[in-house]
Amino acid sequence: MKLEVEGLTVRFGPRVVLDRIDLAVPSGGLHVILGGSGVGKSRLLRCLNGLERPAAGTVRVGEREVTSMGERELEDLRQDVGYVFQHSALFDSMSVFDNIAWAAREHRGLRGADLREEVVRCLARVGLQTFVESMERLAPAALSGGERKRVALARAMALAPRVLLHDEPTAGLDPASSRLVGDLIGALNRDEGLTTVVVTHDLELAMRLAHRISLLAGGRFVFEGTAGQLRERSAGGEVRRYLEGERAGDDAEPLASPASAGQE
Amino acid sequence: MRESAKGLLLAVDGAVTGACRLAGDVAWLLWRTMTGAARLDFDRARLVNELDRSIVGAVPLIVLTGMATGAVMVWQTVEGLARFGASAYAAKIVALSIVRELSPVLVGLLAAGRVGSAIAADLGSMAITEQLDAMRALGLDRYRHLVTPRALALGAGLPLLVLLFDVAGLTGGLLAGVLEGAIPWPAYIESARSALFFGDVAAGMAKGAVSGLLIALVGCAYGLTVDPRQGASAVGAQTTAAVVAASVAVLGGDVVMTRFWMRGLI
Repeated sequence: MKLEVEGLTVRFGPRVVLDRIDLAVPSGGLHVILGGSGVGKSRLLRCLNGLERPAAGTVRVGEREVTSMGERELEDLRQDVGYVFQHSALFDSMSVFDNIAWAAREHRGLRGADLREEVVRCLARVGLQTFVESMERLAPAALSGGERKRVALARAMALAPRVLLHDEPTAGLDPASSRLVGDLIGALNRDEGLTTVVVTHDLELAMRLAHRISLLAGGRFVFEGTAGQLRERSAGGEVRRYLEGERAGDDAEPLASPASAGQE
Repeated sequence: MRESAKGLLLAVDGAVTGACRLAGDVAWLLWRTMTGAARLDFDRARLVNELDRSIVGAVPLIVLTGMATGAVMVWQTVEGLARFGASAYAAKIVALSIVRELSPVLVGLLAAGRVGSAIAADLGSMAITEQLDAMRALGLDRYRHLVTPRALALGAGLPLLVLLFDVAGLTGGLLAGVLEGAIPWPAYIESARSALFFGDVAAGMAKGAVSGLLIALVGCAYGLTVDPRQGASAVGAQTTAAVVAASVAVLGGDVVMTRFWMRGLI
């Protein structure tokens, strides 16, 4: 299922956060949106499944236009579009089992043994088979950061989505957990053909996973291309300096316009 | 002078705007609750859970408050009426006061503090930890799962707590009167029975139903509108505001319903 964004503009009060953004992710593609803190990456991701409405522009998921949908239609759409939050956003009043089972029970009508089997499959898919014995009584508060991320990923997978959106998947994780989560994202994209969009400030993750990368700064994409093309620019530390400059709020010059990047 | 007048006007403007926004939010949540209930489209497991947590969990507090209120009412009324040689009417006055007024108002205020705050804090915490957004992202209807079960549980459960408070209050009054030697128990029971009609009990329970609905909807309105960017302090502020607003709603609802009821309009 492909994703298309045209002329997306998001404001926060008088401030333009995203300024006429265009993005196209083909079916089965893995696109990483890279950028420093506070540049609007997460808000772009929220627009992709209608959690946030843009001031202008259109978002299409497959043939459906997200920006014109009502809340009921969005509920249907979100069964195809999984979303993994930066801080996992697990339901802390529920067990791990119920966190994963809730949406599967509601949308796919699974009950009893079928539901349990599906939850076990989702946990296994994210490498948490060891949780199966205790999942009915295991609370999210008892999990480590990496485990929470993987349970959140299993919860999104329980919808059987065709698109998966990741908001800062490695934020706050140790290097080993970051690598594990990154490997899972890549494996799900590769093995299940999920169209995947990842927003992150983690340059290594982006280089390792992405089919294509967009670098977001100042409300626009200042680079769009493959990891190889970005690597050429990062060899001299140009990209890293750019990201650090963004975090510091510097007015860095664009590395390349999206148009020129497209010609590369 | 001009500055203070301007400040006063801004404060009034803010209060009026806030009240209108709350009224709009509550009306919208009421509509969603009614339509959800009519279609039987709500999370039944959460309804049972909410009945257990908010209604069954409140039983000890209601019994204790009811018995204390009944006892104090008897002591005060007997002592007051004795000045006019009218102690024989004490049980009638206590029974009518508890059943018609004290029971629905006190149960409503206790529930506003105990349950209204819990609802606002619960939903507010979900807002700042992105759990509400996670529900939306999973295509789960927050009204179906979070609002309608709570509103139905409180709307159906509070009348039962009012009835329990009636029984506890009358029992507390009986024990206080008998132990004090002020009223013989057969006289107390006969006097209370002759003073009360089914309509008195039903009116108190109806007030409880309206209060329960308002407390749940006000709690939900404040909890769902916590701004995640303001963090935990916003949860505290919204919870306090929810308790105040729910208490005002309980008292306002009581005034309106009592007036209508006494004029025979309901």
